[in-house]
Amino acid sequence: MSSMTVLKWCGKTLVGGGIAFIILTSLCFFYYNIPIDQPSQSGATDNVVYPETIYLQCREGYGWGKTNSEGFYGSIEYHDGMNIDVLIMGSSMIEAYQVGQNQTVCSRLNDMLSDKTVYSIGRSGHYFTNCCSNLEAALEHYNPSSVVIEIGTVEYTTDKLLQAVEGTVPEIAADYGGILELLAHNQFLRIVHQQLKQLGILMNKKDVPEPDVFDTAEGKQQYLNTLDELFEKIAGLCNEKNTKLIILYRPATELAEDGQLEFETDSRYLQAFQDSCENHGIIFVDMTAPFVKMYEEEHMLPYGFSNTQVGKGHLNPAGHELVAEELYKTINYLD
Amino acid sequence: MSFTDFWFYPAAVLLLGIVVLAQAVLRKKETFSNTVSKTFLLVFSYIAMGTYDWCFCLCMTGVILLTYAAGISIERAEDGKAHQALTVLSVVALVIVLGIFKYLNFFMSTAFGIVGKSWSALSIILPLGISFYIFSAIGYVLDVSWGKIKAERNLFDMALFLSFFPKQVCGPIVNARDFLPQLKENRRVTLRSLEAGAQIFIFGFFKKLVLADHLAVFVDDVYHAPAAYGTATIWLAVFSYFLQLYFDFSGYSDMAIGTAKMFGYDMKRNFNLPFTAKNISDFWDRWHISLSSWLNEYVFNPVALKFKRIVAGWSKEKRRRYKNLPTYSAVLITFFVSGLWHGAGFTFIVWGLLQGVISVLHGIYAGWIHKHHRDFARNKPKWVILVDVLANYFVLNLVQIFFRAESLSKAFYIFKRMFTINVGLEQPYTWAFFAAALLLIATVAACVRSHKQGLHEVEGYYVINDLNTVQGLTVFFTICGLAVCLMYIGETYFIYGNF
Repeated sequence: MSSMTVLKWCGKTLVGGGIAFIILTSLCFFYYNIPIDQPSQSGATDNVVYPETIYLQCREGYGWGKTNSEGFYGSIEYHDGMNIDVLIMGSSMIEAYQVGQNQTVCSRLNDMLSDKTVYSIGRSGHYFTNCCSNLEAALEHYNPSSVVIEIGTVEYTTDKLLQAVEGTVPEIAADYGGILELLAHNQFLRIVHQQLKQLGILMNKKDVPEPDVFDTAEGKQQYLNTLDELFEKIAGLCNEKNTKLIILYRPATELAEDGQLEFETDSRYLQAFQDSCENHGIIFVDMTAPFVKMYEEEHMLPYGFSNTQVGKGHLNPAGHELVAEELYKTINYLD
Repeated sequence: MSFTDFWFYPAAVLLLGIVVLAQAVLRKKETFSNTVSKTFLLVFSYIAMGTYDWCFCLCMTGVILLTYAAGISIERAEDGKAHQALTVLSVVALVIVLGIFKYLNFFMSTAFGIVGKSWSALSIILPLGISFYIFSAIGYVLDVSWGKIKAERNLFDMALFLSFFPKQVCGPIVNARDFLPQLKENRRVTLRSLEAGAQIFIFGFFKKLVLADHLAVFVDDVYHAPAAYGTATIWLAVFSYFLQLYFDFSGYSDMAIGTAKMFGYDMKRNFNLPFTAKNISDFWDRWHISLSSWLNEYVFNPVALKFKRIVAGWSKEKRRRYKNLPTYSAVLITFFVSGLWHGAGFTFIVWGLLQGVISVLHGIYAGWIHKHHRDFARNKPKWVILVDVLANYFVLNLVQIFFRAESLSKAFYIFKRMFTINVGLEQPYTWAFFAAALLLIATVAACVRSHKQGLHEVEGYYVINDLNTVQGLTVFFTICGLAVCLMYIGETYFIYGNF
């Protein structure tokens, strides 16, 4: 084979690869087109996404819309001095780009509480301790009447809670920086990166069980003390601002072989959490019973979409609606 | 290490590079170059198997040595009786190996259960792909015994024939008559073989990791807890499972065929648009072709012949009355073996026998039609053929419930949920519709192509583009990119890897 033939073939490969790249990028624009992360200025969250960017995805559920000027997925625009009645903090469940912008907890709650303004600053990966860590800045920035922290589990290690007490929770860095940030603007490359990242997680997955703090009396006491300390801290922050604090617990669901809906909640942790909330005047909203009711009466699960696993993953429109209804009841009760 | 393992890809590329390099360096010494390439392939095959469990390599080596010795001994036996005894002994020995690893616990627990005692299952590992290479070995022994091929004198060729890494996990069951001669030729990695192999591989990759694995998510959930789902969803899951099974296994087969092709070796295709089958016999001519050909050659034909000889001794009247008995008996036995081969469980036996019964019923019906409506049977209108295809597809979907369900009681429960109105979770799983739509498009394309070529039967084909053109390269890269973007990342498995 002459070097000319090889050179020609390389040229064709480049052209073919280039055309394929354009085709794939165009297709991915409609399949998974999510704005990328950048550091947050307010400190209410560790990071935000690119502001005022159109997003569209059908990888998990079907979500579309435009990010607001602060870099959150909600449709409500925030401006300085704006009166926020309910601020919702939490993870990707509250971020909710898996559903339409008008189907999220925040949007539904705004519809239900027509005289109030509900604002969501949910961000992917912002779990309980991250939210606790950001609470002071969030209260300072938004000064809401009520704040809701969404959590997906009540089981934390003492060390994790201690980090939140001491303010040493590791910050969630933005996904991309430098050259990667530039490349991540291309939807096709973004998906390839996401796929590889997930593959890496899967390959390095080790089922090491977290230590059970209730195993020893000493461990239990230490855990309860730390939990108490943390709740005292966050309740104190809210009291200073005259803000009501609500913790929303939405447990993960599991279908048993006989068709019964099950939850992996450890009752000891749940009880400790509920007791601590009560002791510090924090409202604890447990979604377990509403989830069971929805399953038994309406034959629906709060998680999962028609293109993903049933009952797993993020909140679906029905799940958002149900959470909004429960929060609506709680807020009305508080008023 | 298999096609779903990340590390397979760099390892296989490295192997390909080594083989190409060896061929380039030793291009003037063809025989030596071939030996070096085969040695690398054999070593890689053993490493690939050893990554699961080194014990699998021991089992494989035992079978290789047994088969090798059996072939030579049978060929050397001059006495007819010794020849026959050695053949029987070799086949029985291979069956025993398979039986110990795969069926011992099943048979013992069944036997103990019959006498009202319980059997505490022995912890026996099931060697990877044992059903596939044992069947290849049995086929080889019988071929030598029947004089169809010469016994293999090169132990390394025998080892590579049985352990060749692309077919390790899920076959296809390679026939010695097709594969051993290839090992004698100077098979090389060429641009053409790479071009075809890579494209066949990527089609298989797409089928398995994009379609089958996404379907598995839904099917596994519904089969795990059928009581939770509504009637419509159960139906969708049953139909989705057949699609999953097809994309999973044909995907693996394509990846195996494509990989072998890249290294210069040919393996026959294992699927030929099975959903276009007009009846169950036609289906098995198109589905898992390597197994159905094996069963046809080494089970059905000998058994049918044996029964025909027995029937030949009967009175004329009795012979006329039971003329189809040998065939139907052989059909039932063959499907029973097929069921048992797939798994040690009653669900598989019922699955096999059910297909045997359907096949016999179809044979009776076809015989009746031919006798009473000969013209109609010969020139069926197209709409009747379409009805046949749809009816066959529908029945086969129902039969697969036994294949998928963990127990007979669960299979019957799923039937109950299907044929009674139940409320429950409804999941209009979009991947099921997407997979069905792709399959329909591919089927229509194959029908049109077959019609244009004037073929009587619909023939599937691999779309092989010329990778020396921009158009071909664009299509290839686009499919590769789509496969990476859409592939399911999670715990995956090959359904036939369990067999």
